[in-house]
This record gives sequence, structure tokens and C-alpha cells, in this order.
Amino acid sequence: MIEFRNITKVYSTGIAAVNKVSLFIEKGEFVFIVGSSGCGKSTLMKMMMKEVEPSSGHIFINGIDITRISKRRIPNLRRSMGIVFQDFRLLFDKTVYENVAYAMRVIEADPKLIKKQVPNVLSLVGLLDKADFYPDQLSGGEQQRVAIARAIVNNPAVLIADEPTGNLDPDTAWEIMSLLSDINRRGTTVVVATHAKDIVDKMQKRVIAVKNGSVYSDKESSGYVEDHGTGIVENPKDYSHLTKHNFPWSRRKAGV
Amino acid sequence: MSLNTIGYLFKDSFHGMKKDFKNTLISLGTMFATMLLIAVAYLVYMNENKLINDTKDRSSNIVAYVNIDVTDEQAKQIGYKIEEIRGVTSNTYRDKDYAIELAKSMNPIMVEGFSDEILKTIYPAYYVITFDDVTMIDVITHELGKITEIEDVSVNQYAAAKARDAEIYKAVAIVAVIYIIEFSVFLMMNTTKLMMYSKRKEISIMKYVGAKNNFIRAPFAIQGVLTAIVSVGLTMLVINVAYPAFIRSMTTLESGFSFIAFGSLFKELALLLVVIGVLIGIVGSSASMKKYLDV
Repeated sequence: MIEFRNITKVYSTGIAAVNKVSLFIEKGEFVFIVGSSGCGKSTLMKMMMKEVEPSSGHIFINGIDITRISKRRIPNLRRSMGIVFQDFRLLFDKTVYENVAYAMRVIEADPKLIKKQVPNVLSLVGLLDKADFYPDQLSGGEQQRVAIARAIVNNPAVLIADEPTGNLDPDTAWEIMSLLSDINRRGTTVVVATHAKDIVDKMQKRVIAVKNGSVYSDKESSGYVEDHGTGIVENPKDYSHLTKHNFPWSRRKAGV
Repeated sequence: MSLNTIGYLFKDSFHGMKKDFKNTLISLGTMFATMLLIAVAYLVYMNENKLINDTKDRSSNIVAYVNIDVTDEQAKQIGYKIEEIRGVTSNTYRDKDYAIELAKSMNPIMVEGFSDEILKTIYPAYYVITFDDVTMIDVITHELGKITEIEDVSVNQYAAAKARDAEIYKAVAIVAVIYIIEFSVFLMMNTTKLMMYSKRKEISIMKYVGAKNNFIRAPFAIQGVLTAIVSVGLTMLVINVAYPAFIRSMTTLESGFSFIAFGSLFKELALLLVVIGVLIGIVGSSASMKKYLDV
């Protein structure tokens, strides 16, 4: 589904944000990318949405090497994924309904389908009754729900969330993570970059820990342990040795 | 792009203008000022041209008097030399008999009592020389002076001076028009840039949702076109009132020049403004948002 192959990113300032990262995320997985500020997790997310180009290496999404696609095809790539940001990034001159519908408008979806799909998604995120509200009439949690609704309205194969709970209080953050988990259960691959270690622990999902631009550990989060010195999550189930070919969940799904 | 999408983009443009009314007003005001300046520049230029043409009509001939001792046959040969002078479009020879007859008809008292033989020693044969370009008056006069058989050259000095003035006015008008248009476009581009800067976040969001550049540009371009059309309408209204009033005030000053009636310029000016306005609207918004599209 998503594969980073020996990815390195050195910014023009000379800072190496990501250093020879290789990892594989299977279809339908829920993955957290964690690490302290400046560790390179946001760069990894940005490279997935092709906002930042790697200095070397390749990134495959659905089998397509996105490091080789032209600028003209970036919109097509982004249409295949939903993106959620810490700061919600809603269009403030559009209502909740219009914000969500916009994602369908840009792909020139049938208006009948838009009328059907948008209320469904708003219902899923619990905002159907606020469809005519403008973003500034909503709380932070509600705004993030709108952003999530917009991200999933086109049924993307993958949902990328960069610090989706960074601007929210703990209770609301938990609600948002639960919503992302629900979306994952419906089959969407979810990749979340976060600082929220308590939530990461509770969710018991795969956790890729990044330190100084490299993958420090890649394990299932059960029995959350925090190394306060490094800010890195430690847990007993280690997947860092796995590749696309020996990944257990992909074997299970393939019936192996 | 489907009809439904086009309809949506138009609706979105109207909605955007209504929602962002402050910026819409700023944009409209700037575009109106731009259109008004261009319209004024255009009217100045057209009237300047008319002034030059009017002057040209009044001063489009030079009279070259042939030396009184030159015979009729020799005088006719001068015509070939005149023909070769740059700027001359035609020359007509009038012999002494013609000159005497003209004098008799115009001022009979002056010639009364003189025989034709004596009059032939007073009234010389002459050439009436025409030209198209009034700026050539000095050159032609100078060249005529070099022909030994020509004794004197007469130019309508007032008309020639007017023609020279008109040329200066025209040059000033052209420079002014260029500066006005340059300033107007600069003004419009900067206003659009400021508007686009305020929309940069919105544009980046659209890019993350997967919108293609044309889909993002379209509402802004439509807004630019709508703003241009409304501005042109307002400009034409203002000019329709102000220009005739200006003409009336100038007529009372007895300038002696008749301005072009607005009715005859209306269609041409409206078309010119719509074309310039729409171009500024589309190109201005597209060029200004280019850097924000690279997300």
C-alpha cells in the first residue's frame, strides 16, 4: 500500500530531516508515526502527500512511485488520499456542507452523488445537524470532524493525518482518534503522525518511532512505555524486521 | 469541464464576491479607476488625432512663386524638380495669366489701369504644392529654397505652427497614455496580488483536496471578468455624463476646436475597455496566484 524505500531528505539549509528510511504500511493498517518535534515525522507525512520531494529514494503508494510523477499529476495523487491537518485547514467562506462537498466538486463528481454522499459522511462524523454552519461557528473538535469528513468523502484508500489532535483538548482528541479508528475499521488505511502518547498507548496500533530522521522502532503498541530521555515509544511487539514480503497481516489477508 | 462544474464555478464566484465584499469593493474601485484613466487617455488621444487632421486640412499646401524673369517653358520644368522633393504629394502649375485673372477677381481695384503686359511683370507664375505629413513643411520649404528659379515660398504660418504644436501634443498624449495604462495595470496587478495573498491559505487548502490549477483559478478569473464588466459599465456611465459636459465647457472658451461627439466613440471605447478589463482580470488573477499554486 505505502512503501518508503531508502528515503532521505536533506533540506536546502543542509539539515537532514529524514535519513535512509525504509518502511512498509499494509492496506487497511492503522499506523502511528511518533517522535519528538523535529524528528522528521512531518517530513515523512509531507513526502507522502508530495508536498516535499525526497532527496533520494522512492515512495510507492498503491504501487505507483510518487517520487517520479509530474507536478501536473499531484492533484490525482491527492484525490486518492484524504489529508487531515492539525490546523484543520477549512475554507472559512464555505459552510460545513460546502467544505465537504468541495472535495467532491474538484473531482467533478455527479451532483446527485454529492447530495447523497455528503450527508452520509456528515452523519458518520456526527455533524449532520450542523451542515449549514460556517467553520467559525464550530468548536475545534467539530472543525476537525469537518476536515475528516472532507478527507474521507471520496472514499480514499489512505487517510493521512498530521498531528490531528494537536490543537484539541484530551477528551476531544480521544473522540477524533476514535473516529479515525472507525474509519480504519471500514477499510481505509490510516497513517497518523502524533505527539499524543497516551492515546497511542490506548489505541494499541502499530507505532513507527522516528528519531533524528531515522526509524528508531517499528512495533505494535501494547503496553505503552515511554522513554523520557528520547521521547520514543517502546513496546514489545517488534515489526521493524518486516518487509512487504514477510508482513504477517498481508500474509493473512492473502490467505497465506 | 462539465456544464454542471462551470455553473458551480460561476455560483462559487458570485458567492465569493458577496462573502468577501470588502475585497470585492476594493477590486471594483481599482478596476473602475483603471478603466476611467484608460477611457480618459483614449478620449485625449482620439481628439488629439482629430486636431492634427483638422490642422493638416487647413495647412496642406505651400505656394512657390516662380522668378518673374523665368519663361513659361522654363517654369513648367520646375515641376519635375518639385516632384522629387520628399513629402510632396502633388504640384499644380499656375501661369502668369492665371495669376493675373485671380488677382482681377479677388482685388480688381489693385489691378485697375494696368495693362496685362505690365501685370505680367508684377504677378509671377506659381506652383501650388500639396503634402500629407504636416511635419514635412519645413523640409519641403527648405528644398524649394534650393531651386534657383523659385523666388519665394509662402506657407500658411499659423497653420504650420498649429501643426507643429499638434505634433508636440500628440507626442505628449502618447507618452501620457502609455504611462496611464502602465500605471493602471500596475495598480490592478498589485490589488490582485494583495487579494491573492489574502487567499493563499484557501488556495493551498484547495490544492491539498486535489483541486487542479484550472479549477482553482476559474472562480478568481470569473471574479476578475465580472469586476471588469461592472467597472466598464460604471466608466461608460461616468464618461457619458462628464465628457459632453467637458465639451460644453470647452466650447464656451471658444477654443475653435470641435471635439469628437461621444456617441461616435461609444461602441469603440466600450469594446476597448471590455477587452482590456477582461485581460487584466484574467491575466492579473492568474499571474498573481501562480506562486500560491505551487503547493
